[in-house]
Amino acid sequence: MRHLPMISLLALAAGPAFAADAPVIGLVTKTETNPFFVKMKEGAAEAAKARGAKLLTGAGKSDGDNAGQITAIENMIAAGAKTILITPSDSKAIIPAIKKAQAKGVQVIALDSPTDPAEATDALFATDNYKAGVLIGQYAKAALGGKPAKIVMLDLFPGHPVGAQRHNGFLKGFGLAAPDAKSNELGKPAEVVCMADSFGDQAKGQTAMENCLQKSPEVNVVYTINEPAAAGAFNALKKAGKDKNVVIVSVDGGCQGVKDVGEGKIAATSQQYPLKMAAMGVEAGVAYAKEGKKVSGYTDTGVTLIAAKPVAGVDSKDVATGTSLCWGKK
Amino acid sequence: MNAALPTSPAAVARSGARPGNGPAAAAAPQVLMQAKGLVKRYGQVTALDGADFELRAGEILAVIGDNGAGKSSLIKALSGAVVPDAGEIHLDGRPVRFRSPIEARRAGIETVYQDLAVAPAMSIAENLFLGRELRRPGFAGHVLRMLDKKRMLQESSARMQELKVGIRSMTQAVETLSGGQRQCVAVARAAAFARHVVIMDEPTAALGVKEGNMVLELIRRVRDQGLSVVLISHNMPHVFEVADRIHVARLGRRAAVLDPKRISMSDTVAVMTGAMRPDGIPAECLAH
Amino acid sequence: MGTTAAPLSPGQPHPMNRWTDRLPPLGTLGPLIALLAACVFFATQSDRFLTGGNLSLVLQQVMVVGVIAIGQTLIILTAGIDLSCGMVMALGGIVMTKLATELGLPPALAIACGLGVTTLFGLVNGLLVTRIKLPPFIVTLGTLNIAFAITQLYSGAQTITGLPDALTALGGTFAVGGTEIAWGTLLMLALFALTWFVLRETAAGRHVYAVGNNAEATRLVGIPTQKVLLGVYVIAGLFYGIASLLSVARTGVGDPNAGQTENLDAITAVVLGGTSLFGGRGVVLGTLVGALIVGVFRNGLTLMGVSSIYQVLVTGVLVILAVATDQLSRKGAR
Repeated sequence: MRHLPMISLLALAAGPAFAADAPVIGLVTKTETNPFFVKMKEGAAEAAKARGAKLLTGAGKSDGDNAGQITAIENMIAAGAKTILITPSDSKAIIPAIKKAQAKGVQVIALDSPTDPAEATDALFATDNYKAGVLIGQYAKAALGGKPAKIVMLDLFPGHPVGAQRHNGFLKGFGLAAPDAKSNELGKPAEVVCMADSFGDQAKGQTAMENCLQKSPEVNVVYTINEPAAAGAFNALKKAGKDKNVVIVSVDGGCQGVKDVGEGKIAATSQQYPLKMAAMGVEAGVAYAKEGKKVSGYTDTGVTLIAAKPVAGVDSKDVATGTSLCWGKK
Repeated sequence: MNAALPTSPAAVARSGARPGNGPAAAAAPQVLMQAKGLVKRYGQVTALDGADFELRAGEILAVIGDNGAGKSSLIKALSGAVVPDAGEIHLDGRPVRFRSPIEARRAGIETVYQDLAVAPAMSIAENLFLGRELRRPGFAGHVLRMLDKKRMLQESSARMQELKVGIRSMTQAVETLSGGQRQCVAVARAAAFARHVVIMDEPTAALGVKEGNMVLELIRRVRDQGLSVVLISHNMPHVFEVADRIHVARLGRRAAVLDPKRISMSDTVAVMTGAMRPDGIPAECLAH
Repeated sequence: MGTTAAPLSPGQPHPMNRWTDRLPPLGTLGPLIALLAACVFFATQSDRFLTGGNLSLVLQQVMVVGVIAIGQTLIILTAGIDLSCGMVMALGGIVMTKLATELGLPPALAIACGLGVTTLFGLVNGLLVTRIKLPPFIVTLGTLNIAFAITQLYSGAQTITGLPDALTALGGTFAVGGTEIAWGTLLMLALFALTWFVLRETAAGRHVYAVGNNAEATRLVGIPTQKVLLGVYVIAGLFYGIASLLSVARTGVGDPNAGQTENLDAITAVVLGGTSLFGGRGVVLGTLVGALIVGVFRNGLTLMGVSSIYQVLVTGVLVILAVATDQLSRKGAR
């Protein structure tokens, strides 16, 4: 307690000087509302607070709102941001704005999804979405146990790189002919009996699954782009009385999704780490502001397969682990 | 809202008017509606400056006046669209005060507006009964609030036939009619529900010669049914063709009431523009 | 009419010399023909299409948009528009589910609160349109954003799960000769029938058309125009609330991201059904047909294995056809 006045004095002395040096970092997400980005923002805010940095946040209005992201970038630079972390809505259209920022000496790091080309940003901290797909593909193949596969694939919507990577990664992991990680085309080998778009939305996922079930009632594997779509698929299967014999796999690792794995609705999900992306991004921003060193290249922020029932030959972690690492409302 | 439509014989019972040829047929002209000293100001502008007005039973009274003469303000005061700042209005001997067009309607005064106030996509029958729809009797009407479409069709047909309007189908949309026919529908609607007065604002303005004459004929028939008609018009030949008397509005007051049978059209215009002063009008030209 | 005075009918209506004049009001018939044609086409492409189970599914898939579109039809009939419908529906769903789960309110009360919130939004829209006299497009553009923000804030961007059975009851089904029909579907059809009846057979319904066709005329003949308009927005808000219950029943969760495409989907259903955006013309059953057209195409194309992007393309083409046909069949009437 005797040290208190000393500490306060030091803090006071350090205060203004400290504040003047606080690195300003901007985080631009795709939308304000997707829980994935909400968690990312929270992670960034925590990391910023811990490192004494100032975090500015912004986003587009909706998935695909490129103009909104450009505006956010411009405003943040005007407010003094020296590093911009961005999850690009449109991987190509955002590039001119990124180039302008870089010309002003701003470090730009892509989070979660790359720009096209990926080298347009200084660095990329992202999930390897292809690998995420591979893991659940391997799991699904093993869980099926040698039965002939009848696969339904519920994708995002046409043309989205993350959607294509997960989709094709799944096919690869399942042991089927698949386009490589760079392709934006959705592979469709003969074992895939139906492909439909879920828009990552539960209600639309349910509709898509219902329609696919009508087409191919003998489905036994369902790949879903994310966990809300998986929840919708499960609903549809349950209503048709088919939920017991179908393996549903997904990507995301949100807390609700992990809970669904625990309840047997989803067989396995590839968990990704938005908080880690955000924290790494803040670190990079602080390092740049303090030492002038930019990060570069692609850093895989990791993906872990979470499954309630492990299968032979595929590494997975259990639901308890998944829950401790999950993002979202625990 | 369930106004039962009076049938033809009852129409004769309207306000004791007798179908006839105008004031000349009656022993003494019966005053139906009267206004004294109406005043209306809009800020600096005085639209009505102590205007008088008198409408007799069973007549067609034309109201003419140059722009700014106070003619539309007068009509608005009579139809309830505007509340005068001063002055009084009597209907059928009793003082009345209209705070809205609906009150004027309830008192039995109907107006045919210049833009007709019809819903073009809806049928003639629906337009006739717009705002005064008939409901079915009993449960269907009182609980389910169902409309009695058959009866409205029949009544509309009857009204139109009474006025000898030759439109056959009451179910056709008003927008399929010609301008003159639409005018007839609007006039028939007013005539069907009016108990005393029908006010018509420029009814022939947008019509060609043939259709204009058709509407004039209709106006005569409305009068012959026992209603009084107040006709606002810029069209002198039409005024002279149908009016029993002509009310000239000038400078917010009533300049004179003329007899179209005695005075010439050009002299009438002169009174209207002020070229001929009211005291300069020969006595026999004034309506008595 | 054998009287001495000649009947008054000079002035013919415009000559019926264009072939479009002889068409019946295509606004109503056209969409139905399109729907039947689509059904026939898809039946030839997949033997699963015309099964009872599949058709029952399509009805369930359109029931949420369908009920929203009933409210939208009323508003569009008055020459207005409501861009906030989907977001208000989502808010209703979140309110219902949150109150039932977190606050533990009895389901009936939670549902009533959800309906109350959406009806309140309808009231706000209506008041801004009638009292402040703002254009509906602008008003509902504003309330769309407000409803969306409130939904996200109140839900914390989380879906709400673990709902009591009563909330999802309408998603349950009953069997009719081997086909499962959802209760919610019946509710949607009943609401369409009720609205059709009121619009066709009651004075209040006809006044809605009249206000949309010529608002000034309705004012002059003494119809309380502002009350009609306000009523339409309030009732639409109630319909959005019912739709949110159907959405919750169908998906089993309260989803804050629901309803985002329903805004335009509802308007699409109304337009495809032949109702004019200029007000005063249209049949609410056409809206049902319009919603079914979209659902049938989505279902049929999936059965055929065709990419969903073509569904979007087809919808766009149909919308243009619907509006163009309506305009053409009307031009002859003038």
